[in-house]
Amino acid sequence: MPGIAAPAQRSSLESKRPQAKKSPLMQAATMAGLASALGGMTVVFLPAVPALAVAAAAVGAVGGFFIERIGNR
Amino acid sequence: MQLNADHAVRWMFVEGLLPLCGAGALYLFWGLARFIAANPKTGFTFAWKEALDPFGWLYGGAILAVQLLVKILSQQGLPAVAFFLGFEGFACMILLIAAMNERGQKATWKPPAAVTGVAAFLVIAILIQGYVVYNG
Repeated sequence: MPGIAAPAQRSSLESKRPQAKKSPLMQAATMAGLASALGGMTVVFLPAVPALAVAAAAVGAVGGFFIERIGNR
Repeated sequence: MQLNADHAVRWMFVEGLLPLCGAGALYLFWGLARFIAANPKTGFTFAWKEALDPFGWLYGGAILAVQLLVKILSQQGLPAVAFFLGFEGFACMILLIAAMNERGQKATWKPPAAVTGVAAFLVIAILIQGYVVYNG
């Protein structure tokens, strides 16, 4: 059937696919590190707006996730 | 006020930057001295990147964050800074544990650029918050 690789072909295709090294602990740690550092910086430089620190921490968490994903490629 | 600022600057250099970056700076000076002395310079090699020590930064960052947190809690002030210092100390320790875990699985593991960058950012944030705590 066209479009579906035979088992032998499929295994060779899978072996060629880049394997992203998955480390959930490292990913979580990077996210926590970036989030806390961004939040801490915001609290210091914008002390009047604590909500901004929480927002910065959230941005840091998302950024840490992507940094770790890109770093593993 | 001036005394407080002096105290904060002294803390930043003596208790913050010296233990965190002192050995790395000396290592870079050693490389520079070797480069100046090398003749001919074409074959000169030196592992400059080894001056970046994310493990040392994370250990130091965790210690500084806990010390600053204890100082804030004893002074009864700066609750938001205290919260994020605790968060940063926790993140330093979690990153260290993650690195230990990776190295335990593969002996040749080296910290990737993401870990080095986040460790540097964490340490910079902790040092700035420490300056604010000592200056306050």
